[in-house]
Amino acid sequence: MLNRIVLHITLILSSFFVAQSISIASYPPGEEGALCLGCHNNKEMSLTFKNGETLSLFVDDRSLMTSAHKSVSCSGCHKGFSLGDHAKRQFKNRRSLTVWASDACRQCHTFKKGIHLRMLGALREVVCVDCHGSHAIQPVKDSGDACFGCHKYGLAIPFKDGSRHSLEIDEDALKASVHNKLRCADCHFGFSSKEHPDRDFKDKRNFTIITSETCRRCHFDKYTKTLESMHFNVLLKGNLKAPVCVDCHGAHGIKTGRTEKIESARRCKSCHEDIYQTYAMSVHGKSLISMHNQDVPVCSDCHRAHDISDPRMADFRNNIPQMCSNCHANEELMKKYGLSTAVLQSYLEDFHGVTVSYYKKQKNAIRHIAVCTDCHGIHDITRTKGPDASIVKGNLVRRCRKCHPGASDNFPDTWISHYEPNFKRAPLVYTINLIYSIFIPFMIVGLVLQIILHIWRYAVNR
Amino acid sequence: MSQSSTTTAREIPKEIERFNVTFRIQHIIMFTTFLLLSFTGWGLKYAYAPGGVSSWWIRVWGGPETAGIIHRVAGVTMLLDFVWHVIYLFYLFGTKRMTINLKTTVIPLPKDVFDVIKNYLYFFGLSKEKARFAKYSYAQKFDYWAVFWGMFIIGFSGFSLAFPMLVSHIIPQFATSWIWQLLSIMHSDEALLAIVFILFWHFYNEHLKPENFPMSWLWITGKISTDTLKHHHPIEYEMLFPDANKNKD
Repeated sequence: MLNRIVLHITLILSSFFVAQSISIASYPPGEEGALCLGCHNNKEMSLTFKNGETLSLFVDDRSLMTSAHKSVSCSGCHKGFSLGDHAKRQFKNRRSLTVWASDACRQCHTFKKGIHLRMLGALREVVCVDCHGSHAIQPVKDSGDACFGCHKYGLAIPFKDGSRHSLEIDEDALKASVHNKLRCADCHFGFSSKEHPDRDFKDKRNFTIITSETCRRCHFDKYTKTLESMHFNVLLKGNLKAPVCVDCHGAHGIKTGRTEKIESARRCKSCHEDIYQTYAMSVHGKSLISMHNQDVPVCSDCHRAHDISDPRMADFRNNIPQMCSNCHANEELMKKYGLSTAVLQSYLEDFHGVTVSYYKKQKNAIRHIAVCTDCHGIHDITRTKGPDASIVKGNLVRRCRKCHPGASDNFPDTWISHYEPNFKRAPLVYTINLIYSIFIPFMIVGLVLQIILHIWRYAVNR
Repeated sequence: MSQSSTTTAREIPKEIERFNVTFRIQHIIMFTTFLLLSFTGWGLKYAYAPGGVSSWWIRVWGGPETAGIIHRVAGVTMLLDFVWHVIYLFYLFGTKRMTINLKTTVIPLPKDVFDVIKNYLYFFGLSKEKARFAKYSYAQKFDYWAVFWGMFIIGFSGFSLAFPMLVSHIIPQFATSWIWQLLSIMHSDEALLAIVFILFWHFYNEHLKPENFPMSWLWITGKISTDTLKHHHPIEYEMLFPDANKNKD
């Protein structure tokens, strides 16, 4: 009761002072506003809630001046407040006051459709002022903050199959992503606070695949590459498990592809678990996993990242020697591991290599000629020296027999492997090779000389 | 004297037969298969060279499969031609239709070495005297034996490469690791040698040489004019027409 008397006295007194100040400065909210601000421009004025929270009752006149509501009087929103009637209400906490105060907006802003209608029906946690502000009311800019107004809550999109998918965005993940400078609408094209189309998806996978299409708006080069990929091909044929952009790169927490190689391999692992396990046991995989060796190839180094082709196709197969030679013919890289770079050339000069060179240019080569992976393994590539050598040879014979039925156990020995013939290893081959390389030029010179001399003599005699 | 000269002049024909029809057919088979083998086999050299013409060339011959078949068929035909030639030689010797004569033989003789020296001296203008050849000059002998020798090298290595599983039964254990490399080197380098030889030697002598251009028709007629014989093979000419020579002197 005492409170009420004090308030009345204050209001009466302030009206006296304010009447003078109107002539000094014209407040945007009009005469009534000037009256209210007579008290509410006091920064110390505050309200204490039951739970001990306090709320400043100070209203900044400058924020009112820039507000979209600058022509609305105080009581336009604060219904039931006037000089004479200054309703006294009790609130549990600060939030409950905010929620209650926001109801006032709906006196004017009635929504027949759109995001506001849906939101107001579904999401009790969010109120108008959360996005638009209170006194400094602004039309919402479609920046992250506006979207987060709703999307930090456990919103969910329902699908036709009855399942739901959370639309809650992890703000921290978004801020840590490579896309942290982008606005929501850059990817979610056509979505804003005003335009928030209702879309029906069959199920969650359908939603993911369709939403993923947005990436192409910026990453068109990559997108075009994926159109040629094995994954897209499988997707087209109706296997919806085939990965789309976000399956490998993530949606909001997008990271750069140039991270640690193991990360990249693990992404493939999520579908190709068995192959990953085989790879992990290979000479490359072991080195990557146990030593974090960044020189070794991971899945995408051989299969490529976006234009992943079907490894069962002849094109892929016939290109394997070039693929392996990306590293194995690299002098600098191989020196680190004491490996020979002659492997490519010695393979290409061998009859298998020669045949593959031709098949590469042929459209419909059906025969499978042995390439690197046939002898060395595909995902289970092992060292050819040391304790695994006998396993390698054992596997090799089995592979040889596929094309050369009846091959004996010693069949893989029938070439001097990837070594250049030298005097120590293959003296006869070396010698004969040397003789030919001397004799052929020698003979050419001799024959040409004889011809020239003959012509010369012919000319002289004439 | 004058009487005998007129009679010998009448006896000397305009041309004589140098190669009979069997030899001519053998030669045709030989050069046909040789050309086919060279063309289809050439692509295998430097096949791996990026952007090379080898790959294009092999497609001209119907792709690796077809070119391979052509190569094998031509190879076997050439070997059979060679076998026929050897059997025919045995037949000629056996029936005394051909005998070994120092003036007509294709077997290399010490004289050939001197001929080489003499010829070069003549070429350099150091000697006025030309080397005097018998039926076959050192160059022709070399031409013949180059093919004869190549037939063993290329023939055996080619057969091995075409039927590796079969030939592997006769390859001794110690040679398994390098013999195939050796065989393919021998096959391709010997072939290169043969192609180079034919290009620079045979083509020049029998096609591009001013007196033979565009070619010596000997391969189809089998006949050589006595003038040419006298000029290029004086020893053989003298052997065939001893009187004519006397007359000249």
